[in-house]
Amino acid sequence: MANCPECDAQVEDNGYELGELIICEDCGSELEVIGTNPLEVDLAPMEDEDWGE
Amino acid sequence: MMTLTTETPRIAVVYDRLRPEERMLFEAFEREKVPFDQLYAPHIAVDFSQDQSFSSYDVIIERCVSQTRGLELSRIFTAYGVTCINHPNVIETCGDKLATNAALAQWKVPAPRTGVAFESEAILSLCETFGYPIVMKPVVGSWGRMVSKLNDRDAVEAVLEHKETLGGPAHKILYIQEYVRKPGRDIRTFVVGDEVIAAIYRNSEHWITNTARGGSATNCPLYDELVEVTLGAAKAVGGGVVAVDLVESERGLLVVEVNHTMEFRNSVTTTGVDIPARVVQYAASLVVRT
Repeated sequence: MANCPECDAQVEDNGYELGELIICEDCGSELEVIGTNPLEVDLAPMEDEDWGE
Repeated sequence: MMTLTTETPRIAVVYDRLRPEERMLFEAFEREKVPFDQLYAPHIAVDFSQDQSFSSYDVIIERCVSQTRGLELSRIFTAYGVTCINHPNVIETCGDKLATNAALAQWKVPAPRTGVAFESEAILSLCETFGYPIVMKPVVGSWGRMVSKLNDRDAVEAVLEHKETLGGPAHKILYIQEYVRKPGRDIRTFVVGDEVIAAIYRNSEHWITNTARGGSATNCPLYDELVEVTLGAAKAVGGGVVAVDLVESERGLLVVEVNHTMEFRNSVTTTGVDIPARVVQYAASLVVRT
């Protein structure tokens, strides 16, 4: 269990993987899984200039 | 393909964002029964005075969405004797459009007419010699971000003002290309090692045909010129696993860019080629210990 950094709602641990993007069911914020044991989430960063393929 | 005889992973995938491609790669490892580890880049901390656990891998596939992070990790892994897909030199060349053009020119691979300058007046003069419209791009960037088709001098001056306001050294490199009138599509080819394994057309009514910008993908059958130009481009940047973007022009195929962390989510079903499995097989072929 973690808390959404935007609205503080509880985020259930549904077996997410590191780096996975999830949506907060309460406020709709895009969250990034940054820890799995225990679950840690942060606001997903905006696209940066060096992002790509 | 070689068969790995140990359950100890000799291959790892380093990533920072779990995109569909990374999931597809992980699933391909499972299907191919090749043991592997996942390395989450934000958790990596390196002390160069210490031995590193990742040096036990023979091969690491670099899949970071951040090109800067991916390049630095590839440098580190390579320094510790790990074969990185791709080699840092390849990432460095592909990650900078000007470096890509320099490599293509050196290897005489056909490309759109390209120019660079470092001052506004110099690039404006160059635009006049190219003729309008011209395309201005940041040298670092993907997904068609900040790529501008500029129809006249006024438009160029406006973008130059924006770039000055944005600041940063990268925006002081003024990079232009001729506008190639392509037939509503461009071509992306996928290279694994020395082989072109698949290609797609990226179709769009917009002049930017990138699928990340809404372009749709259809299968492109491979043909001699496509394979030849693609392999030339891949060789020019140093090889490995790359995707080459090309446009069809009156002068034949022209290479626009080469991507070192290729995205293929729309291309497996489209081409019928299991691209992630081919990448896994290639990585397994580079494993030196069994």
